[in-house]
Amino acid sequence: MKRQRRVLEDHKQVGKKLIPPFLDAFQNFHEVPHVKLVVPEFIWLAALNNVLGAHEGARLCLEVARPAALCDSQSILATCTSYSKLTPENWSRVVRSVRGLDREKVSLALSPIARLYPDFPLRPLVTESDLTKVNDEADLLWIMELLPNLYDKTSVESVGMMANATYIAFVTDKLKASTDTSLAQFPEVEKYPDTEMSVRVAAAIRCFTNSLVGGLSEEAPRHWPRSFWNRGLELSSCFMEGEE
Amino acid sequence: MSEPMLRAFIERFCIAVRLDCSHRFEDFPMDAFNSDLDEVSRGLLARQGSLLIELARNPGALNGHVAPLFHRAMAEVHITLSYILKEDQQNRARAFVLAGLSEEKLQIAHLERRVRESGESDQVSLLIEQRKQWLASQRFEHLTIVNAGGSTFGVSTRDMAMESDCADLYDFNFTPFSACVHSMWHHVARYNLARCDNPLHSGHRIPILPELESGVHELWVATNTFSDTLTLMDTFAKSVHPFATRDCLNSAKDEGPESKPAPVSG
Repeated sequence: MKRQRRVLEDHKQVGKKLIPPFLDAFQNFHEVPHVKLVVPEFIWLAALNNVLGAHEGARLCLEVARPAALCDSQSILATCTSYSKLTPENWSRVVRSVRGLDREKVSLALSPIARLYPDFPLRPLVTESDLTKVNDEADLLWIMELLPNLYDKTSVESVGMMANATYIAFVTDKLKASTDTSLAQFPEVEKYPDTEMSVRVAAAIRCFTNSLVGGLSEEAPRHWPRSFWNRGLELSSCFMEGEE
Repeated sequence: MSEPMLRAFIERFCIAVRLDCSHRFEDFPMDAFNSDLDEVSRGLLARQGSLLIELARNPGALNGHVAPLFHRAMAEVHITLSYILKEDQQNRARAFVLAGLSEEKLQIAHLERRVRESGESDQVSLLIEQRKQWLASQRFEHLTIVNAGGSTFGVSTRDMAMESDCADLYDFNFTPFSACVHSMWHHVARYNLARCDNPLHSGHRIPILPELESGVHELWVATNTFSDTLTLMDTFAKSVHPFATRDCLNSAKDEGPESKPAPVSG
């Protein structure tokens, strides 16, 4: 007697392929890998939080994004790629707006990235003085400590940088949330991950930022993320834990 | 286990394999007129025994890099034999033979083309001649049909397994170990790639050639498949015999850790 083969019954059979229900429901599903795409696009926000603290990081990302949004009304100025579209004139305007101590703080926070990654789109925000303070070892150490926390999209650091991106979208009037959605409780993310609502808000933030980064790929050929990770191969060699 | 003890165990094991095979060889019904069925069946059992003996003789192969190559081959032997003995035995045995002759003819044609294109080579010419003689001893070449793309029996291995009550062997042995045989991603990524720990590298994988310890578990897997094939032969021949190979492995286990084959680095 033939044995009954009933595995993956919830999958839809199309020829020889078994399509998962999720893919069947959303035909034009578009993958947005967190590490490969999201991390490089929001690395500047993670750097602001890491160097200056969460509150100052959130405040200063707006000090940069607001004038930039006046130069480009179409984009949400949260991703690195969106800043690569600004002209030199746009940048002059942005740099003039971020003045005094704020400029010093932003420059300080972003300077290691600018020094290590020549293609960094927000490089104009870093002062000449900070650019020339070359200290490869310290810069490498800093970024090698920053990045592992960002690999996990549920970590406090990851949620923090994605929350800043969402904050920019709200404040520059590119994002509106209906009152019955988790995203409407956005301020609750400050308490992440200590409350249930903050966890839900973080999930909603991830949805938004995924669609933000995913939408980019239609316009730009992912130059910055590709450049970011391949530069990493030039900066230091592969290793495995336990190896000398 | 010391080296002499390991050698002694391997020798006992191989003798047990041969003993198990010889019992089934004797009992299988033979027909000198229509000899395909007993030649194919006893030949496949002998093949099973050879695979097990060679695996046992090479303890360094008892690891995830190599042992699955044997496991999958042994699973396929068992599925093929099960399918042949299930029904229509004479015709299925004949189909098995003709499929082999078809492959042989095709291989000879490829070799002849190679000689034409790259020039005569004494060694290759001799090889071609030997293979032609082997083919001709069974069937005229000009009467041998070549099945260029089809399977041996016109059905997939999966369907053969389903029909002959080997579904579990197919799902849990043949298919998973096919990943090793075909060096598919889900084998290569586990055995020959590791995550780079440099956070600047996006978690990419880098190639490795790990030394794996050998494990007697692999010998158990192969012995179990071999025992299943022995049972198949016993059932067909309506005979009863002990399982010397399994008993040998069991007694090694029962005698305690000192007697067990020691893990051997590959």
